[in-house]
Amino acid sequence: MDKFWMQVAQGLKAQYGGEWTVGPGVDSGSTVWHADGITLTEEQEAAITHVLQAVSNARRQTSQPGDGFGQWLRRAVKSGMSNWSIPGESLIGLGLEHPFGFIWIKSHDHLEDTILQSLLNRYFADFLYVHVYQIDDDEWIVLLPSTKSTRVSAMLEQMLEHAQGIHAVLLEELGQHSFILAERPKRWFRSSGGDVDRDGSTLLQAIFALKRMGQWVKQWIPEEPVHGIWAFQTEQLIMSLSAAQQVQWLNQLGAMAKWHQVLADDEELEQTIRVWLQSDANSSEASKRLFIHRNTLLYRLEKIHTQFGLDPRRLEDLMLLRIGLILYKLHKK
Amino acid sequence: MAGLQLNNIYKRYGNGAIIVNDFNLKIKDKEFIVLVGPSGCGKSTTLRMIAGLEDITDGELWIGDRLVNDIAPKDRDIAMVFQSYALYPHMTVYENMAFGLKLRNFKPAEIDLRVREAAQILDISHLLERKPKALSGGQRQRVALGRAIVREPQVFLMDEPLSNLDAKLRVQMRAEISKLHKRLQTTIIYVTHDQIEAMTMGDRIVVMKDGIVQQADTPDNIYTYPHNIFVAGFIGSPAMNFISGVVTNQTGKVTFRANGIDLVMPDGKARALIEKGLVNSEVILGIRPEHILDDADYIRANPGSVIYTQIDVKENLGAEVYLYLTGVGTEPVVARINPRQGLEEGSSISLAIDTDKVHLFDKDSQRAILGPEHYGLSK
Repeated sequence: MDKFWMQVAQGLKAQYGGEWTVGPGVDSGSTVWHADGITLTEEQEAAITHVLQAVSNARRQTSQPGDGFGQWLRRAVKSGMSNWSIPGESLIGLGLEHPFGFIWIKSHDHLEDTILQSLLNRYFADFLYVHVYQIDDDEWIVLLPSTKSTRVSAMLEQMLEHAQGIHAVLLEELGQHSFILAERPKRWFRSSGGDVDRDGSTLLQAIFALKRMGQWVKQWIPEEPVHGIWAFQTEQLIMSLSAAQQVQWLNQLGAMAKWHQVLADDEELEQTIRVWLQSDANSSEASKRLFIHRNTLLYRLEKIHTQFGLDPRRLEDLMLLRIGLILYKLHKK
Repeated sequence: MAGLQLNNIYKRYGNGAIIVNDFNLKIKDKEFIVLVGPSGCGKSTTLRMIAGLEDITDGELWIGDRLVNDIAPKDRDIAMVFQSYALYPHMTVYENMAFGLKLRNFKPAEIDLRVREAAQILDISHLLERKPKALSGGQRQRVALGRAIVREPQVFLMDEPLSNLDAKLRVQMRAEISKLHKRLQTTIIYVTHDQIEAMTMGDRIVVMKDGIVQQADTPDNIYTYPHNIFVAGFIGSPAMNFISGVVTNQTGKVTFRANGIDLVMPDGKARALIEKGLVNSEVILGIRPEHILDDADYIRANPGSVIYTQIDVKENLGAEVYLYLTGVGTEPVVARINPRQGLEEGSSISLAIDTDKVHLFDKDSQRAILGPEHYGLSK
C-alpha cells in the first residue's frame, strides 16, 4: 500500500474500526479493499466501493507522489546517457535517501500502463517505501528498501527471493512471463549536509548494466527467468574489455574456429558446461539437472577435456572454460 | 470443472522450427492427464499454450465450451503450479494463499473459508502463520499447490512440480497429488519427464517426442501395448530390450531368429505375421526385462522359448536382481528375476522368453506390428 492508500485505510479504520487494506486492483483502474475484524452491511459495502472507486479515478487524473522521479527515470533511461541530474524535489517522500535494492523486470508481452504497477503495489502493500516505475514499454524497475542485515549473503538472498516472488505473482495473477534481474541494495544517492546529491549517474549506470546483462543472461540461461546480477561479475568484467581484446583472449584459449566447430557440432556439450558450472561442479546435481545418468555426464566431461584440453573437473581449467564459453557466446555469429 | 479439447494444435517459431506438431487430444472433465517425454519434446510448450503463456500458431483450444485461443491467461480460469514453487517471501502462508483472492475482491469470510479448507486438504493448517523462510521444500510446494487450489479453477496445470524435491519427498508428494485429484474432482494436466510419475499418477498418459504425440492411452495400455519403439523404450525401467532379427517359417513353425536366439512364436502372433506377409522380413523384437523368465518348469515346458546366455553384470536390488546378459542379439539384454543362488557374473544361464509378451516392431517405421489381440492374456 502506498502512503496515500495507507492514509485512506487509516481513515476508514477510524470511521468503522477493524483492519483495512485498500489499493488498486489487478485490472487497470479498479480499486479493491478489505476490512478484517468488522461486519459491514451491504449498503455500507456498496457505498465504500463507490467512494473508493471515485477517489481512485480522481487520483489517476492528478499527479502522484513519485511521478516526477518516475518520469525523470524513464526519460533518462530512454536517453541511454548516464550524466543526468535528478530534480531534487522529485525525491521528496520516496525514502530513497536510504539504501535500496532494485529489481529490473522485462515482461514477455506489452502490458497496459498501470496493470503491473497496480499489481505490485498491492503485492508490496505492507511496505512503506516500495516504488514501481515503468522505464520502457515492457520494462519496469522496482525500488525496494533494504532491511537491516549485517550479512551480505542474507541481503542478497532476500533480494533474490523478492525477485522470485515478483516472477511468481506476475505469472500466477497476470499469466505474464517475465525475465527478472535483481541488484544488491546500497545507497545510490550520497547525502551531503542533509541534501540529496542530484547526480543520477550511479543509479543510471546500474540500470544500464542490468539491461545489458539481462539480454546476455536471457541468451545464456533462457530456462531460468530470475537472477541476481551479482552472479555475473565475470561476464561484466569480460564485457568491459574491447572486442579485439576479447577475441585475443579467446584465441589464447583455443582458436575461435575450434570453439565454434566443437560447440556447433554438439549442442549438448555447451549445455553440459553451463549446467556443470551452475551446479558448482557437483556431478550428482548436474546429472539431475540435465536429466542424464551420472556416467553419461562423466563421459561428456571427458569429451570436453579431450576437445578443449581443459579439464572441467579441475578448478583452474573450469574457470578458463567459463571464460572461453562467455567469449565464444559474445562473438558467435 | 471442465474438459478440454486440443484440435490440430501447432507451435512454430519464426526460424521454422516446429515445436508442437498437430497435437490432438480430448480431455474429459475431471481427468488426470500426464504429458511425458524427453527434454525438448514439446510437452511444456503444449502446457504453456493451454495456459496462454505461449501463442498457438495454428489450431483450436477449447476449455469447456469456450474457444480460448485469444483469451488472456488470467481469464482462462486455470491455475498453474511450477517446478520453482516460488512463494511470496514477505507474506505468511495464509497471506500467500489469500493474495490472489484478495486481488479479485473476494469477501474476507470467503477467503478465510477457502484458505483454511485448502490448508486442511494439504495438511498445512499448522503452518498458516509462518513465513516461507521457515518452511521445508515439501511444505513450500504444498503452499504453492494451496495457492492454486483456493482459486477453484476449472483446470490445474502442473509443470514438473516435483522436480526440485528430493527422491523421498517426490514419492510422497506423488501420492499426495493423486489423492488431491480424487478429492478435488477437477481436471489436471501434468507435465513430467519422469515415466514413473506418469505411470503412477495419470488416468491417461500422452507420450511425446519431437513435438508429435506418439501415443495417448491409459498407463496399462501404454505399457502393455506400446504403439512404437519409442514408447516401448521410454516407458518402463529397466527399459524394454530390443533385438533385431528375421521372421522365418520352417517346418510349420513361425520363428523369430537372431544372434543366439530362435524363438517360436505362439499361434496368434504366428498367424498375424503370415497374414501380414512378414515371413522372411527383418523385424525388431521387444521384450521387457520381467518377461524373461527364470522358472525351471516354464523353461522345461517351453523349449522353443529358451535362450542360452552369459551373465555379464549382476545388480542385486534385494527384492529382485537385474542380469545384464550377453550372447543374444548384439546388445546386452536385461532380465529382471527373483534373487537366488548361482547367479554369478561370468556364468552361463538358461532363461525363457515369455513369447506371449513379446512385441514386434517394423524395422523401418518402428511401429508395432501386432495389435492387442495378438498378446497372451496370462501375466
